[in-house]
This record gives sequence, C-alpha cells and structure tokens, in this order.
Amino acid sequence: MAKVKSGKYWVTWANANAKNSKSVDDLVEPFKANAKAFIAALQEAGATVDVTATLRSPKRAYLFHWSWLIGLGKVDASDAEDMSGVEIEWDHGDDDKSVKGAKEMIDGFGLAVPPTSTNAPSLTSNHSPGKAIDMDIDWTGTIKIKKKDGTEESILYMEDVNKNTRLHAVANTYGVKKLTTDAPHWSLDGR
Amino acid sequence: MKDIPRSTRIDSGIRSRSPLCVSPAAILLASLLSIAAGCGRGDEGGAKAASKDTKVPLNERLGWVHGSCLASANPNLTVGTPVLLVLMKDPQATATAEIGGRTSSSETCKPLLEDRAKQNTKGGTAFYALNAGAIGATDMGVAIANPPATSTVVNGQVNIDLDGSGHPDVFSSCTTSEGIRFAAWAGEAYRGEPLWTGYYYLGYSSPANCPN
Repeated sequence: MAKVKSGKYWVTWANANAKNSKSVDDLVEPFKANAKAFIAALQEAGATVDVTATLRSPKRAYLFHWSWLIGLGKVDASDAEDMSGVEIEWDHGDDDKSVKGAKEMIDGFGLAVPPTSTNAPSLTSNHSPGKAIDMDIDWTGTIKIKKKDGTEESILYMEDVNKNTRLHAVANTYGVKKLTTDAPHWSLDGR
Repeated sequence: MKDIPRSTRIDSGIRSRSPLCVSPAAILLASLLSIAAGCGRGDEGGAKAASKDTKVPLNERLGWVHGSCLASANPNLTVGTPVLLVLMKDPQATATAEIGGRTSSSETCKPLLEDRAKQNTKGGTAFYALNAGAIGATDMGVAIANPPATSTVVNGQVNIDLDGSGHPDVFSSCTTSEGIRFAAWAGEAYRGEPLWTGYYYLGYSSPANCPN
C-alpha cells in the first residue's frame, strides 16, 4: 500500500480509524473487574460515574508522538519509526515540507508544545494496554460507599477529587489507584 | 478540563504570605511601617497599577487559553471585554485580545476536541473565541479579563499586580501526566499556595514536568 505523506489527512484518518475507547469492557483483566466493581459500588451509593477514556489507540499515540518530534525539529523525519497499519510517510524528501506536514498534525490534534509541554506525547501509558480509566465521579453531600470487603465508608464530596483521600482509600480496596495530578485518571498502579 | 480555577484562597484578599493581617499588633506594625500589602483591596492607598476589577473574584477574571480559545469559570464575559494574555513562551510574553463570543466549536477551541471536551467542560467551564491577532494556534497561557493597566517582564516572567496590593503576581504552566496545570502566584511561582489554578485535560499522556 502506498504511503501517504504526513499532514492534515492523518488527523482525519486518526479520528476515523484510531479512536480511543470509553468502554470499560475494553480494559484488561484483572483491572477490568476491579474497575467495574468500584464503579458499581459508587453507583450503588448514589454517585454518578461518567467514563471518558479507557483503552487508548496505540496508532493514535504513534501519530501524536512522531508528529510532535518532527514538527518541533527534535528529530529528523527520516528517524521516525514505522508502525504496522499506519501507512504514513513522515519524510517528504524535503525537510521544510516534512516539518510542515508534521506541524499540520500538531495543530490538528491540538498537541501541547514547549515551553508548556517539554516532552513528546507518550507512545505508551497505562491507557495503552487498558490498565487505566478516566472518569468523573459526582455526588452531593456525603454518601456511603462500600469497600471491597463490604464495609461502608462515609465520603464527603470534594470538588477536587485529587484531594479526596478517603475516596482514594476506598478505591484502593478494589485495586483501583488514583493519580493525584490529573482529576479523572485512575489505574492499576496510580500512574 | 477539570477544574477550573479555585477562588477560595483569595476571596478574603489575604494571601498566604501575609500574616500581618491577623492580629491588632500586626496591624499597628503595618501602619507604622506603611505596609500596604496583603490586607486590603485594590482601592486602598499605596497600591500601584491597581487592577481594574479587584472586587471580582480571581476565578471569574482568570482563565486559560489554547490558541484563540479561552476557558473561564465566568459564563458572563461579554463580547468586546478586553483580555490580557500571559503567554507561556520563553521568555513569557503578553498579548492583548478581546472576547469574541461563546463557542462550542472544536475547530476554534482545541479543548473541545472529542477526547477532551467532556473533561474540560466539567463544572460549567465556559469557552470563548478570542479576537487576538498576535496569538498562534499552539500558544497557551493564562488570560485575565478586564486586566490591570500595567504588566512587566522580569527575569523572563510576566509580573502583574492582580489585586492592587502593590506586589507583583506571576504565572506558571507545567505538564501533568494527562494535562496542563496553569497557576497564578503571589511573588514567586511554586512557593506557598497558588492564588488561582486551572487544569487543561489533553486526553493523551506525556511525561510530567510539574514540580512536586
């Protein structure tokens, strides 16, 4: 299959062919069962849970990663690695055109660039194999959430979920760990 | 995005580095030393370059931007409202803009892309298109609606007196595992509690560089 040069085309392609999942069923075991159990406990207690990301597309991450590096001049287009199933030509045979194509992707994907963001988007994370979940958990006032052993814990709602250590402790009993820098993110190891 | 800016720390007008406010003896000392900082609003004597809108909570005046898209906890910013942008460049820079109107377009507003919109609109965050000639599509920073009259750049950092205290406030951004954290600080970034923070959920992972 002929490769297609980097550029806006790949933003459209990724949005059609390399979408991220929001389904809990796309998580891997045992984290899937753990996350489902924690979510069920939350809902039983009266909380609403809105899942916004689970398994992230490795192809999408690949396009983010290399467009950032090439578009910002961190690597030559010829240094980009190939990925099966993504027939992108990073090297246009002209450095300026290669950078331009990558920059179109940076813009289209809305990637953060230096100095705000000094590292390329990651090729892998806990989301890649389905071991992380981004979700919003909401309720009003205090609710009683069951830990895995069935005992209840009264938890007051906090707008900043990163600071709600009592909620984190309940989640821990299910093997769901909170990343305390990013509000929606929970994973098998807290990263 | 999550979270929008927190205002509770600044509602009283007292910053974490101003213990002079809390006792009569301290107030007397402050008077004797003609210290005007940290205890009052922008209309008290001794403040220079006072904010136009010091009585409006910071979380209703500050927001964050990505390109010509502004995220704000204030849903009532009107078209034409002037905005000062503190752009996270190296060195930091400022740019002027004005509110162009509310938007729900992911073309105008990258924070409203499919993978990001739900998180970034949580809590009722409002998104506005900005009329700003000098801002690039990848520029990010902090926005101040109805900004103070003056700002300066000192050692590569924009300094603005947000509340008319006479002391400069500074701004920062850093990357978390899945987003960008913006903040405003009294005097020095990452010292004490921030005056305001904003979180921009990016919907992808990257190595974090935020100080612990």
